[in-house]
Amino acid sequence: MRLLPASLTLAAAGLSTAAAVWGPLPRHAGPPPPVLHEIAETGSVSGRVTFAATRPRQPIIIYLERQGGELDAPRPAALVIRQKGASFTPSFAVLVAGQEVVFENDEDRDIDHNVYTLGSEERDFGIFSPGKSVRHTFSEPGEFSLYCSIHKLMDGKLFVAPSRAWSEVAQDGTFAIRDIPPGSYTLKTYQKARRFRDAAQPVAVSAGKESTVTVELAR
Amino acid sequence: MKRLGLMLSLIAAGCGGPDLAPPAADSAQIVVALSASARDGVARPRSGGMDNYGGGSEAKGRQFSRVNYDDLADIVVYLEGDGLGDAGPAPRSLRLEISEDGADHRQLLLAPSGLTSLTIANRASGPRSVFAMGNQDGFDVTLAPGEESRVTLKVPGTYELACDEDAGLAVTIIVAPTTWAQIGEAGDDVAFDRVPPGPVEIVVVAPRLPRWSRRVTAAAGRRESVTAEVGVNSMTRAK
Ligand SMILES: [Cu+2]
Repeated sequence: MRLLPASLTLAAAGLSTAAAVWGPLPRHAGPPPPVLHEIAETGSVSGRVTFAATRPRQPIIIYLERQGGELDAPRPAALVIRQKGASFTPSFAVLVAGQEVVFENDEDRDIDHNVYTLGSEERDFGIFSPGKSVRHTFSEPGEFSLYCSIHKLMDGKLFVAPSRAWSEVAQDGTFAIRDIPPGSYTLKTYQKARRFRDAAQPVAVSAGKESTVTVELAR
Repeated sequence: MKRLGLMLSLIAAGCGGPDLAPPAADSAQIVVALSASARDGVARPRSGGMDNYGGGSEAKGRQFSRVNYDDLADIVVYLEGDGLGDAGPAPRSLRLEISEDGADHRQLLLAPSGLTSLTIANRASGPRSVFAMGNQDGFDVTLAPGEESRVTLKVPGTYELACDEDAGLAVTIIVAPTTWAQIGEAGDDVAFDRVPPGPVEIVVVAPRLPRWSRRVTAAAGRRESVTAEVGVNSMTRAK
């Protein structure tokens, strides 16, 4: 059953894509995403993460797992990961399960690259000369490392969230995940540089309401 | 080869190989040849040396440093099996120095009861917060310049070491499940002597590369020799 109006999911998807990327962001082309209006059918989860020790400087992600099946919503548009300068750009990104990635060799000189992933899905995507690219859909939630078998400093990381219900934790520890269909969820954490045990706690989402939670990250 | 990023001194049990005496009548030997190779179809650099694209129209710079598969180091080899006991040749002392030279992939080996601690020394000019967290174990230390600290990991597994001040630091710590663990380099024959007979899983993990494993039966009075493929050539290829 589709719970979200199409315009809303599109906007949410657009926002997720933009927020998903660290490093240089692609410039927006075309019209801005539609403005979100208050939708009675959905709820949200917000809160704060407290840290038992110094907060790591690398990204921390809060995401929801739906009990009894993931959200039925359009995936964000394909994420392009470029390779110019023998660097993956972005070098870290959050994807949504089912989202496509385009690995593109955009070197302006005659330099080949290879891409392979280690993690929940281990795969070799081949060798690309400049101008060549390959597309792949990441279906399995989890963490992946990206490498090039030719260049030893060329690496990146992807975190594939189970659905678009995720948010990066802000510097002040706050987070907010909006426009979520009502239901029972498990809230989980992902740390790009793991300093604490990851948290997992139940959270209920009610229509038209904001559930507030505190997440404690400790060793 | 100059090591960038980190300097590691490791006192490991020596690797065997050609000089290895024949196996004793009541135990087995396992010899693992580390055969590393570049991905099929990868050409040598169009010009210049082994490690870098050099000169001409090609890019220079550290970021273009290539993996030299003939020179791969920090390759962890360990044995897993119920009857192995605690007499393996795991390294006895481990030290990691953190400097300011930037990222490079290093891999460190610890083993339960044989070697569970690691000395981390800060050779950078500023403080460094260094931490690693697995599912059941981890450490978190902040070191002033010149300071060093001993950290302990006891639960077998793979730990990614991270540093707040240096996001590019790339160090993996492997805590092997047994003391039957050694570190080798590409081209080495890593030998385990006096292995208790029985089923054994041989696991090889090289930095940044997929893990290789093989199940063998260690038989008394016999030497089991295997070749471990280190590289990406056995990976599933996307269509
Ligand atoms: Cu490359």
